[in-house]
Amino acid sequence: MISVAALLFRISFWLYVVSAVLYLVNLFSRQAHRRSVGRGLLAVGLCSHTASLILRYLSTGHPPFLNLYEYLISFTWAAVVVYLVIEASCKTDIYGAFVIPLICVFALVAYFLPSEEVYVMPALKSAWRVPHIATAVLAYSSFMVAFVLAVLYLTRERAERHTDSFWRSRLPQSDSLDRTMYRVMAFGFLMQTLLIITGAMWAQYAWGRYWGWDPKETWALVTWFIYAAYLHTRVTMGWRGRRSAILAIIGFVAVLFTLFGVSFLLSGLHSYA
Amino acid sequence: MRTAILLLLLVAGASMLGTVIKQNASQQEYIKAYGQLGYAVIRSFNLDDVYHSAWYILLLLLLALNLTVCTVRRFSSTWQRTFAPKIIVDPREILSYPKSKCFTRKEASAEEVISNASPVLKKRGYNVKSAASGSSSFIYAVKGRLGMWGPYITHLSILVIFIGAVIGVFFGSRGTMMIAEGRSSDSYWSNSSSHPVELGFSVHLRRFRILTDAQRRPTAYRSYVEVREGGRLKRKGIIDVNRPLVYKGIAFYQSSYGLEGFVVHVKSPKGGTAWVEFGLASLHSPEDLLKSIEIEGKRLSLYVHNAVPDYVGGEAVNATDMPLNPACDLLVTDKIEETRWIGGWKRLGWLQVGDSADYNGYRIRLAKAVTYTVLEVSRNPGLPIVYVGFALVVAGVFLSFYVPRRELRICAVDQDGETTVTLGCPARSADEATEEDVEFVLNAICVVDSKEER
Repeated sequence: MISVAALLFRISFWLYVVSAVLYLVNLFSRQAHRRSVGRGLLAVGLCSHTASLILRYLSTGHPPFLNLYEYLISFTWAAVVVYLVIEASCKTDIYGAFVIPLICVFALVAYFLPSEEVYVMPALKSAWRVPHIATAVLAYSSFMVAFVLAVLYLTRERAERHTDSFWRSRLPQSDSLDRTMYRVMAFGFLMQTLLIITGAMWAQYAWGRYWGWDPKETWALVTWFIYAAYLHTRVTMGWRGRRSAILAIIGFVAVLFTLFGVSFLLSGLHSYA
Repeated sequence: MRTAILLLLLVAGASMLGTVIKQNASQQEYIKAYGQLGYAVIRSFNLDDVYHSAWYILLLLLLALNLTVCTVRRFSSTWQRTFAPKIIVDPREILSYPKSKCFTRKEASAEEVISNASPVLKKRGYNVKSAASGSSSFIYAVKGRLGMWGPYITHLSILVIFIGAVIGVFFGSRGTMMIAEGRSSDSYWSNSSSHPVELGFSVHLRRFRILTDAQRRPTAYRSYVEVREGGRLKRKGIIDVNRPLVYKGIAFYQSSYGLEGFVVHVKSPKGGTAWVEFGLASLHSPEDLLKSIEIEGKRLSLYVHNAVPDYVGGEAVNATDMPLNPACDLLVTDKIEETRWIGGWKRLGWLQVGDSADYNGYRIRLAKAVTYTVLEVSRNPGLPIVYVGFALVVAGVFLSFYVPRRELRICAVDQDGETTVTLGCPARSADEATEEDVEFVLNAICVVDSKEER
């Protein structure tokens, strides 16, 4: 018997899936009606998702940041919000065909995880937990969206080189993609900076040292360095487009490793998953 | 700049190496995982302690040096551009900007163009500076100058963090302290040296408690302590995980705990009493588990055969390693010769705190179980500097991306009865928002009926 909150999350998951299908179909045969239904379903799914998070918070007494299940339901929520903001500001719905299925993949993992209330270890009882994990959710969902944009950029570039009209007519202009990717990255970078710092301050209160080269800490810093390199190459070396996109993709691989690789492949103080 | 990016990526790669190769492991572990050759490679490059190895520290130093050089170089140019920018420039320079426009007007003179443009720009939040030189008039308009300092502040902040970290490493100290309930300690064992470090005050543990929920899972680990200095009580508090106690720059963190020992009360048949203390912690010797006492001329020996922190009885005996229900299994004998032979002892069985058992008229009661707490002690004089660095890096990153600098230059030259106007935005600040501002300015100068050429 699952809770109402978990049920609402599952409902939003299915709405996202249908929305993803609509966006994908829209990629091949564009139709305004299908577009608005797709977007509408996404928005309704987001409402259900928001309700699910609020209900969970009310019943557990803490924001949903404690284990992988909770993290994924928060992360996917933030990713949908970030996506909708981009769709509204760029006035294009093409990204949805790529971002929403990817969000569904993460939501699918959450679907199969147990949703029971999590026992809060004393080590996790801290005021720093909320800003630390909130910034993690915002940073990594932004980097994920930037990753999708980078892949789209490369697809578009390849389509232009091979005069492929399928992608050319559907993807936005290369420099529009590039600019959006940069803006999303900048936000992600600010969040990543806050993530590392709130983590360091929490570590100082909990363990008496703000930095211990723990694998998770180190990988978060490695991710930060990669995105710092991305930003530097744009500003000082004038890198745009292709090379920037590749760095964005490398950066996301680092993000994936920080999120999952560290917990499952390495061991350390941070293995809370 | 390329050096900086290269160094960044090298440090990133080196840091990754330290997470993939297990740090500070034993020789056998390395040989098992990487073979003899692998172990030799690891040892020679110090990959078993990457973050403290010479080459890693060298990389960090190079990065710090690079940052310092960049910071110093940027300072004067950023200062100048903020407080003393050049207003009069060659119009050809404005033309060289990526988004520049050049056109002529007949109706207005150079001065009029400039005075039309100024209020529009001011209304859009720009700081407008104008100047004239002969028949030419110039405007330099700028918005978000604070944003110019963003990258500078970010780089400076990293240096500040480095400095704070170095001070912490050289002047700070970390260690542990073990205190049993009812006892005090005025020194701690430092991680880096082998002898105890004096605190200058003493920490007294009144009580150690573990709070649990209905499923017996721990919800808090609490050390109730008092800090005493010069014989006087200075501070009373609770040290819990995530809630350290800080006194005179030294911080105490809840780290671990254990069962220290037991206090047994013995009452003889004739009414005489005695207290027996047993120590269990590793600092004591095993002989501490066997104690003999004399009451009214008669000798009684007690031996702690077994002790558990969380007694639940039955086959499992012990549930967890938390001292929630300490109990001991006692052996007792009053026959002196038999103390060497296990058969001469009588087993009293498991006694929980408060339980008592009888032996030959003696009443033996487990009066108290004593726990100890382990506190992590840390002194880091560089910490405030590191915190300042943290605040600066957040401010710097925020300023760099969210307080964008927008610059606009206009040059109007009176020439043969018509005015040539050149307008442009320097490369770094050109973005959509500036283009909007440019549109407004152009409207203000009224370009409707004039030639427009780039």
